[in-house]
Amino acid sequence: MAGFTTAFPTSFKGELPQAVHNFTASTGHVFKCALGIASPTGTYGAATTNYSNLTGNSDEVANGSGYTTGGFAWTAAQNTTPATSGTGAYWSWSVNPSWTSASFSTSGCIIYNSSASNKAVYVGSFGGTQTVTSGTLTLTLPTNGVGTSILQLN
Amino acid sequence: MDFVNGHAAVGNLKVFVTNGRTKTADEWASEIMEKLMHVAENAPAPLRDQAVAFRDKIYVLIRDNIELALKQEREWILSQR
Repeated sequence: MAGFTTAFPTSFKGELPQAVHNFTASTGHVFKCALGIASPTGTYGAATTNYSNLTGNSDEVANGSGYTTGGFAWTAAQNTTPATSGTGAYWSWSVNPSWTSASFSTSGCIIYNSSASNKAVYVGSFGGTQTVTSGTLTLTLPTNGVGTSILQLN
Repeated sequence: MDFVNGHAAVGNLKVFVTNGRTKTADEWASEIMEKLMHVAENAPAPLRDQAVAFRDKIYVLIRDNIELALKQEREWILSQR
């Protein structure tokens, strides 16, 4: 079924032991968060591999009205270096993706590594259509820790 | 051979929208607190109460400083006109 399902992309699991991604603060890669439209034609979830999956279906929010295609870009300095606790590892970013002076609707997102051929590292569903009108849309990342972080290996 | 189970997991994003305005200091502070600390619902009551009390104090500190920063920035911009 078309739409977004929150998932840890399977391709990302395979890329981790190949050292494709570097989440180290300041010296790591640049990651971006792209928003999908309210009613996408594609299906996004664990099988999603790349940002191009979104653009290939013309499912990204259109450029303009507070959104720039490609999405919100974290700087490498905003990566939170992966940490471990107990038997788990977790990592995140220090700021929340945010779009100001925005007017659009969205239903999900893909976080991808723009330093590594736009490979997907996270797919998120917003649980329905979220609409912003001349305002600010913020994606609040969960607390960076075991059991809560946006990305974890347990 | 023994196999040890492990799994990759993802946390959930929350979407926060303001229409016709930017975020207030209260909203910024709430957002920062979500990133800063998480108090588990199933934590022992005395620990949870202490954590919540600490969280509330930090929240006020952040909110008040954001308000001050916004106020000073606006005053600075006005003074430059």
